[in-house]
Amino acid sequence: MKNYLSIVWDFLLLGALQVLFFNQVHLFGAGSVFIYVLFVLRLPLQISSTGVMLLSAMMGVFIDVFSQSFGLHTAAIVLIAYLRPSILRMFFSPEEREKYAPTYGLVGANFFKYAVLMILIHHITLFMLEAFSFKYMVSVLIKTLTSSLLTFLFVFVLEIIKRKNIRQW
Amino acid sequence: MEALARFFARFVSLFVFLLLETVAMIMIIRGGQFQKAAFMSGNVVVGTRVYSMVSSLTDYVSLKYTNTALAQENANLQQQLVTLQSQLDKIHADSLQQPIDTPLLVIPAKVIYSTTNQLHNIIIIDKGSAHGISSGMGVIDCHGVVGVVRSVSENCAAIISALSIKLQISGKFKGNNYLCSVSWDGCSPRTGVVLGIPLHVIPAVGDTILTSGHSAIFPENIPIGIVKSITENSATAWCDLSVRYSAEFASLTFVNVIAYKNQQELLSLQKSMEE
Repeated sequence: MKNYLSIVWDFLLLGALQVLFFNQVHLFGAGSVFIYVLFVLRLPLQISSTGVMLLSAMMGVFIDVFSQSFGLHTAAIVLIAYLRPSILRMFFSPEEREKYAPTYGLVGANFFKYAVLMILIHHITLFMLEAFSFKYMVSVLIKTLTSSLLTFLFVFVLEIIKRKNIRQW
Repeated sequence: MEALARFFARFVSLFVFLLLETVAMIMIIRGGQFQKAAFMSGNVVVGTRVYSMVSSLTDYVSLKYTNTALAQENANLQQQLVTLQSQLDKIHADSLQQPIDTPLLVIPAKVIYSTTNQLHNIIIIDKGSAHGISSGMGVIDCHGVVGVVRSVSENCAAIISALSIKLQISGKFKGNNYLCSVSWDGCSPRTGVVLGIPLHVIPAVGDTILTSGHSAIFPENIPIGIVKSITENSATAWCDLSVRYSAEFASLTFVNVIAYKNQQELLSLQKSMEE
């Protein structure tokens, strides 16, 4: 029960943070923060891959409705949700994959390698779909790099803050 | 048996993945119409209500800056009023002159939501069809051009910001009235681009680009931006300009919607010429 509540809490917290705060933020001219990616990163490992995809699609639709960008965020977040099991296998040992969730508090610094790859895939998909042509490739790549860096920074900070709460489980 | 179950599980997840991506793609491709429809039917009303609540809180932060800008604009308008009044007095001395009929109406509105971090940025304002706004009207703020109204509901309107790679604004150089078209570079919320200006126009850094007034969206001589840098292309006789927008998109608070009284008439005339 507590676990379900924590997923709902993550959903609402990260969704609201994205929609009400980070959507208005445009740092250093080219970077924006998509903190809602952390929702997929932190989902418990017991949930089936289909479940992860459906939950992240819900998050994507939520962000899309409030950002007036129909489908963009959904497409990007569903893609990383689909790739998540393979990426988890790349970075974590089988014992680590038995844990509750792939969070910094539970799996240590490897979390950040996994986070970087997921964020990069998400951002490049998002920006390419948004441009929908190769004409803006340079701008898409610049935006992907700066935004990934910024998103990672905030993911890092939130993970460090949340580390203690997670350890209680 | 177990292998079969695993295979099946994997198949299900692939199937769900493809299904969700297809739905998302359809939404993206039909995005424009979808967005318009959703806005019209008021599905976004909950969203706009939340935004107006948030903006009523955050407006306090920029109150001081807004105040100064408005005071400055007020002073400029006062000055124009004095000059125009003196001209008007002269005209009225001529009893044969028709009374002046203003062709446009300015509707002030408050921004309740705006983005600058996408390729198609939008702005939502707190006035809608009930206040006389309809799609296709131009939107300016006290510094310059902001965007064009896209869709309207009763009490709010969605505006395509000038920061959209789909929007081109017809402009002209202040000095020589040479026509150009300003589009967005898709990157920084401060800079736009003007492509393909012949060298004989001799653009210079610091030149002001104004609206041309040819489109029945914006009145003439509203600032769009200032030329920031010039890239000459030696292979062709063209050069590309980078333009710093006059409007401050990151901190929009109050905007004015320009309602032309005869916009429909002009548009239908234009259409009949194209046919």
